[in-house]
Amino acid sequence: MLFNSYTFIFCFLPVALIGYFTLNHFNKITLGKWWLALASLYFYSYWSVKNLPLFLISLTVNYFIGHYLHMGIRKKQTLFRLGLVFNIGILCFFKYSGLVGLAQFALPLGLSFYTLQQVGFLIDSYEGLAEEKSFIDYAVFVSFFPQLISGPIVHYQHLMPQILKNDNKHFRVDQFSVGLFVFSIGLVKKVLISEAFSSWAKPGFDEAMTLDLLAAWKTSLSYTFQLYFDFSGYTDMAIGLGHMFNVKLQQNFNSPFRSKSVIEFWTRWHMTLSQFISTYIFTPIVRAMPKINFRNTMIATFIAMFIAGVWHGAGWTFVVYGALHGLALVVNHLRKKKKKKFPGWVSWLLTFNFVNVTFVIFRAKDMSDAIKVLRGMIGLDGVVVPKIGISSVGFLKDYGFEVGSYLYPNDYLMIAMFVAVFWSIHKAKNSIELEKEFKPSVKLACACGAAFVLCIFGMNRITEFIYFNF
Amino acid sequence: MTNEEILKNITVFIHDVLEAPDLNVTPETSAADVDEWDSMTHIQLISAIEKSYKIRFALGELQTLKNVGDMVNLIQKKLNN
Amino acid sequence: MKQFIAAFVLSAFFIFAAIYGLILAVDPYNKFGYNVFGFETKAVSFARENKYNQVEHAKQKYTAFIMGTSSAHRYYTKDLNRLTGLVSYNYSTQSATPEDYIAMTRHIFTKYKPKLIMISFGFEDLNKFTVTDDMFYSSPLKKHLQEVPAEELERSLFNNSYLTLGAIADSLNVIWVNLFGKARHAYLEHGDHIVEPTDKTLMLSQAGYSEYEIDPKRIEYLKTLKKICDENGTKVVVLTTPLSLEHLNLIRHNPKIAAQFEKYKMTLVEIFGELWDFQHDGIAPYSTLEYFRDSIHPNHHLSTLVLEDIFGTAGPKIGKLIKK
Repeated sequence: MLFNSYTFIFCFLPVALIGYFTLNHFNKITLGKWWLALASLYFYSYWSVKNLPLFLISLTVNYFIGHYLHMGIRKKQTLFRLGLVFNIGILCFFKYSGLVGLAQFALPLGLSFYTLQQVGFLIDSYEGLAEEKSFIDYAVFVSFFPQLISGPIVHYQHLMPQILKNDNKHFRVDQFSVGLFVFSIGLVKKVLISEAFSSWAKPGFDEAMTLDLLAAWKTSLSYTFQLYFDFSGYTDMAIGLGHMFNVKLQQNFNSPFRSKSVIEFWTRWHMTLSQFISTYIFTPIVRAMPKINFRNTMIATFIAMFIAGVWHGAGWTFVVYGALHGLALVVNHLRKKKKKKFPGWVSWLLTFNFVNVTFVIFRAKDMSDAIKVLRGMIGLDGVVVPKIGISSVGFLKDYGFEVGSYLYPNDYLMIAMFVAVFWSIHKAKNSIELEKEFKPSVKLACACGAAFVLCIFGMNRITEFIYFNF
Repeated sequence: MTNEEILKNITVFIHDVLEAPDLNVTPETSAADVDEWDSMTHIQLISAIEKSYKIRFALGELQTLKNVGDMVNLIQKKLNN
Repeated sequence: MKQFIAAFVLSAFFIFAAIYGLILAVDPYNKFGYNVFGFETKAVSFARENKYNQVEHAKQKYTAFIMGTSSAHRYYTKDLNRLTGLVSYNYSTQSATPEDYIAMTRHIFTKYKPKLIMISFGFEDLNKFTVTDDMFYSSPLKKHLQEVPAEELERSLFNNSYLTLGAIADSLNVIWVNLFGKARHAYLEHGDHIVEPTDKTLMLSQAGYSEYEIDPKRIEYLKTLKKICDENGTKVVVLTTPLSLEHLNLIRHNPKIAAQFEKYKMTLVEIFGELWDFQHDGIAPYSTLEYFRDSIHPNHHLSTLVLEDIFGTAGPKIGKLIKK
């Protein structure tokens, strides 16, 4: 099920909320948890029940491993390693089996996320930081539907205490209000903004054979913003839904396009993934090295970023994406160490363009597709100047530029949206800030209501989140 | 060891590893506020602290240690165990 | 705090009612057939719905129908009428595909006994990778696509083209156009298309053919279409819509695509017995703004020449008749 669908908003969500809080109200706490878990499983299997068996197996196996890790057994380390192999094995099998010539299976929904989440739990259990008390508690942790399919990745010790806290067992008007507010923001980002950018990105990637300069930039910038609004919108919705259940989920985005360096970018983009990679992959690699010096940490950084890249999928584009970002991080750290710095706006420009260009690679079906767009971006396939109502634009023909057609209203809308987005990158508050400063008022409620209604109209074509494929 | 003493020690490490001798380190200081404090210097900092206090941080604790106040508390807890 | 939730719910409810009410009142796609505000023209984004309703409610007894994509918009019914003596309706819609044609054919036969159906085909029509337009699935036409089970055609719980942003935009557009402006995109009484200002250069349009495979499903739809017409004594005239020379060259540039290009024509000949082909080098002298709006849309002038080629007595000047 998608958050941005009528079924979810008008059927599933109210029923899930009412059931959960009603059961808690009559002090049937355990039943309430079962309700939440089962509702989450229903949510998960709505698309296809075929996803469910693997999910349940993963959940059960991990629960037992986590359980026995606390029982003071002898072969604790062996069990822990088996657990890791189990999870990573499943992930690699479904993601990369096509590479070694085996039949490529369809990636089960949310596999990458719920696997990572449980790996984190196993490691935390092994280190004595987490311990689930009961199967149902663990089941709720893994299946909690606001974050099940595409994160934010949560830690057991961060989520469960909130669910178990007494204050949180009852419907809270203040939490529900802020949840409604944040959910609306996410809905607008996903349904209205991301959709629009998607319509401008798609033709360039999927239909055109070559792209002139402006078309190439329109395509790449549109995709960058499509991806951001799609995923951050999803995250906002997840966080909003969490609030409705009195759970504070962790943020995933913090104005990533304000970043003035690649290092900074990864502290602002898909933050829960970055933190996971940094904590559970980067750090162990560093610690495994003979010495913790600059050279070794750079190697570890590159490897960790590379893994982050190919976590997204088995394809050269993801390899290149991860490698490029790994390289960029290393270069960034080198310059930092040498205290070399560009002026502020140069740093921003370089960072933004690097991010934009690598997203082209990230999106493309294959490297030749990516090259098609990148070529266009440096003008290798011509420059077509649109007729912007000035007849004098024709003189440009003498300089080898082609003159195209008039701009359509849709093009003006696109330009307006680009301007609005670039302005908001620097001037507007992001959803974290908005959430923090939320003050309920009738005016705000009406604004949200209006935005919500527009989204209802905008939702009538079901599309998928991009991160669904991971 | 008192929290103040731990804070004093940590401050030395921070100044050293981050190569920022003028940084004013308080319990409120966190990685997000300090440009030099990124994942790379963080791991070096952790390593130095672990060696010095002869303690070991669990992976799951590393994110907590991005805030000086939390770091001091955690070190204190480990020393008392 | 409670006020926030209450205000949210109430405002959402009233704003929804207001917007949806406005859309219903304006009825931009002519679904309900009434005209509360007495508008001269309605919107056409959902061309299928609009034309479907025109065909459904028309007082005329149409005896000829034109089908195709927007490239067939500029065949004027008055010209076809003049050449054939029939009373025609132009059922062409944007991004139409064989799914549309078979559904339209069935729809037509529920109300009329046409003597002639003319279909203008584009190269992408038979391509497996050409997606059927989304709007087919939210239009009443889809119920005539009997080959596909109803559940597969369902798109969402509120499968209603009035519950879309497009409907809001179109309603406002209808009000604006009728109050202040001239209708740019509007269908006239017999599905005819209104004249629009031209561009200053002949632009290459929709010329991306990266993947091409003839779709067996669509061949079946067309065979069924032919069968229905044969059973009812209806003549089917099919043609390949004129493309500018530049566009043709682009298609033929890639040998794989070029091979499919020949195959697609032969497939049409196979199904329909004969094909009027306008997608060949003979179009060269006509590849200008005098005859085309852009590389895939012939204007009225060229469209009329095409009709005269096929139905006139002077003999073909541009088109080539390929028989089985």
